[in-house]
Amino acid sequence: MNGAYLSIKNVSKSFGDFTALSNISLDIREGEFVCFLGPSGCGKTTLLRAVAGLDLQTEGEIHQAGEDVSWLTPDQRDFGIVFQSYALFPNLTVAENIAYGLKNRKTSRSKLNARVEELLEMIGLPESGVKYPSQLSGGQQQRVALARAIATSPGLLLLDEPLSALDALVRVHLRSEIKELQRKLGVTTIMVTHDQEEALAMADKIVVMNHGVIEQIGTPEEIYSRPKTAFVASFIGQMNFLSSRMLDDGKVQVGGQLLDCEHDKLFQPDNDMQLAIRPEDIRVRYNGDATNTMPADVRHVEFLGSFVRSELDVDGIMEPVIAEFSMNDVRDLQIAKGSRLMLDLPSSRIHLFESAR
Amino acid sequence: MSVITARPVNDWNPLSLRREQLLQLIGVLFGIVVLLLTVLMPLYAILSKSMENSSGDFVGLDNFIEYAATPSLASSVTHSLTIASVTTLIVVTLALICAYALQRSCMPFRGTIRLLMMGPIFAPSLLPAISMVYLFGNQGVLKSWLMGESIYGPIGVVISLSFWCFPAALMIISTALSNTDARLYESARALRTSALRTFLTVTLPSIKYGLISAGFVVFTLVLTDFGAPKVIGGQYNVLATDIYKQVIGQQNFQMGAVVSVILLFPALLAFAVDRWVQRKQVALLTSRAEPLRPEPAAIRDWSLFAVCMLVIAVIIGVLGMAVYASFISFWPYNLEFTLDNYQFDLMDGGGWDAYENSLEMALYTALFGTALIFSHAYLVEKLAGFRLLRTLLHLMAMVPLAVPGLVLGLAYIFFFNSPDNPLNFLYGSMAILVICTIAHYYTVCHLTAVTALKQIDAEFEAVSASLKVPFYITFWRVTLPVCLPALLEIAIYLFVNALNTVSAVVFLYSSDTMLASISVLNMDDAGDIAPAAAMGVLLMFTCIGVKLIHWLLSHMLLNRTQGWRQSR
Ligand SMILES: Nc1ncnc2c1ncn2[C@@H]1O[C@H](COP(=O)(O)OP(=O)(O)O)[C@@H](O)[C@H]1O
Ligand SMILES: [Mg+2]
Repeated sequence: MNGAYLSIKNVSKSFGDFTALSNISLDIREGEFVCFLGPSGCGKTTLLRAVAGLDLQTEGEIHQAGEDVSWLTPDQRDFGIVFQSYALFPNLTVAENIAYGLKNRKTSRSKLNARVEELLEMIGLPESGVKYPSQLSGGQQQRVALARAIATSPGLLLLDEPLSALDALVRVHLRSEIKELQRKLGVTTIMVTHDQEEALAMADKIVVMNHGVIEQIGTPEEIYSRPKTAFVASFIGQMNFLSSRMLDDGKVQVGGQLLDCEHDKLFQPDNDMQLAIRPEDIRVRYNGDATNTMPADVRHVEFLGSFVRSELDVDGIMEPVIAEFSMNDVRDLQIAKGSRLMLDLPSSRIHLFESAR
Repeated sequence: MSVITARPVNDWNPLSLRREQLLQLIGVLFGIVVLLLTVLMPLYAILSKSMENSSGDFVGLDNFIEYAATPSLASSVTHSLTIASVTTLIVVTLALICAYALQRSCMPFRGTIRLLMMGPIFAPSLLPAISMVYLFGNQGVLKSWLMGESIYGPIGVVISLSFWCFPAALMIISTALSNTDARLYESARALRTSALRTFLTVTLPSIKYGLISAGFVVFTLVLTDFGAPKVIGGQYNVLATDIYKQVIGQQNFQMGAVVSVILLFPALLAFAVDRWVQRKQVALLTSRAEPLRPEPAAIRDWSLFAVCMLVIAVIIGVLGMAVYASFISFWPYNLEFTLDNYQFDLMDGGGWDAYENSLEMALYTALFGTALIFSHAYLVEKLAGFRLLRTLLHLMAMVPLAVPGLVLGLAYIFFFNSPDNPLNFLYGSMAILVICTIAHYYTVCHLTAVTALKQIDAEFEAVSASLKVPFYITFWRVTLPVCLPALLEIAIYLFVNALNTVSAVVFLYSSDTMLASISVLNMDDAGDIAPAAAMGVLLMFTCIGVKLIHWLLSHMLLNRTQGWRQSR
């Protein structure tokens, strides 16, 4: 026992020859909100369904609340689930949908009604109990699906892309509602999403997946500022990638420039590699604390409200470099198309990755 | 926070859950056993019978060699194929024109025209054949139209079956024509494509699979139909009548089995093509399309209208002739109105009892068939486990489509009449008629049920499992109500077909379980052609009545469930 509420141990899943999950291991603490994040088809849903027992893994174990649930059927496990399609029963009213799992438990009618009222209140639809799902908007339907899933107070809440079918505005709104509800109930939650913004905003812990393997597990902050792999770096947020070379003295050569980098990984000297830096980490103003300066021409400027995104032509580097500058920088330094700048790539903000073969 | 009571974690009962899985397993196994007993084992029995001599010894392909060497028998293959090809050509051409008129023109009264064109579907294939006798027979009103040819033979069979198969082809081609994208036609017009070229390059490719499918459906229907050639075929023997003659006339069961096996081949081919087409068509339907709204074009609309009127005139003429003849004293000598022909109890042929038996049989078939087929389809489509067994059940459910009714009926004799079979007691009962009819029409209903089940959310079962609600409760509370329209459709399909079927039950009825459709056949055989027409007409109006009830029920249902049945 390591104190985890849910332990996924070396889980693999294949469909015939195709490996959808390979050797996934993961611990989730009680009350934690975890997001499985990755591009479409990377195996997020497959992993979620294995946790639920809906599609059993080919290999590996899953422990929930100290119990081995690896080979139990879904009804023998303890979870509530919400799907992208809502999966509300169309011929039952909202109240009947929410009460669906409660009916089975020999609860008295008055208690049951009170519980449904309470849940309707909680999702902000106190008057909608008598309506049918088709009379509600998408966002409202998804709230009902959520209420139905938590009605029986499961120990684990599973959400498979619950927001993907909704309009952008509803999505952002419901995002915070779900998060708040989860915090209030303290229920351990796994949410699958391919939307990095959603994951960054909601999760306590993000599990980044790609091609059936876990690329990185960490808090949103860790994932964003210390991506472990080039995939994570490119999938989350914006990132410039520059082909570079590790030299004997620990410096990194990019084009004609030599850069200092702080990094905790071991790279063989004389190796081809990728240097990565986020657009907002490139500086144009510094008070003598510059570490890696390089001259550049502004090739293109795009005004985005509170900041400007510019495409830069850095001396000696083939690839265009994207940088974001605040409006203050733009005003004070008169950054415009064609202006010449001296950039600083702070050594602490540079990420290094093995070159993709 | 305090209001949320923590749920005790272990309040499920492992034993009851095992029971749920066990229940599912029993359900799937039951389905497999049912189809094994009612389809596959009888088919095996007929196959082995075809390779036995009259004393039951295995003789390999000897019977088939004998068959090929008997010219009177072998000629049936050519006859059957000829009739099937000619009928298919006629029906598909006519159906294409009429479906085009219905879907793509602005001619008036399209709804009514479509309704009238479906008319033939409500009568057994015997009825148009009987009409042919009245219209073109030796004393026929329109005998001169044949210019000396006899209606008793291929001409009569082709006309009767063209008439009878027309609605099926019309439905398939109409559906194909309705699944189109208006934008394709707009692009064609923007590129100044001629009407003919548009038809050849846009319309035809989009309905290609519909045409192929309609063609094979008609081909199989004609090939395996027994009623029309029996009544109007005269000396022109076809495979279906050969089976009947060998078994009933000559008691040569082995040769009956041989012909059955031969008849199985084209039906199997049609089945394979149909499956292939269905798979192709699915891909066509997934794209999002703009509906096509035809614009008026006087010449096109009115000429199509004229063709449709002609077709309807023929349909009304043929059906009307049968109705008229059933109320006439003695054609063509005494044209007085009479109800004598409906005094079935005074004729040989089972009397009104036969009609009651038919209703009873159709009712049981609709009731048990719908329950059985739908629950099997549910197990196939919605369970999570037992993947292999479920696939097996699905494959087995597809087999009946490839088995002609006569072949199934004969197979039942071999299988159920065998003294070694513990199910022997079923032989000659009402039950075997019901079982055989359900088996005969199993596949179409299975596919209807599967389609309906596929349309409801795939995650209902997952959700109810997570809520610890047993699958059968969700089946009862959600799946069934949502699928009620499909259930009604299946029940009506079974009822109408059970009422009209001849081929599957002609070998299986006993004196106690005489059916109306068989009595049409027998009365016609005995020369009581007016009462035969009367019974056929009675069946037709029964089907129309049932269809009306179905229509009313669906409307009531739709009104009652309008609250939740809304298009999103
Ligand atoms: N039942 C199945 N049979 C075969 N392949 C499957 C099946 N379910 C999923 N896959 C494949 O597994 C991969 C992962 O699927 P999934 O977990 O649904 O991805 P996502 O991360 O988008 O949720 C996909 O490539 C998908 O095609
Ligand atoms: Mg998914």
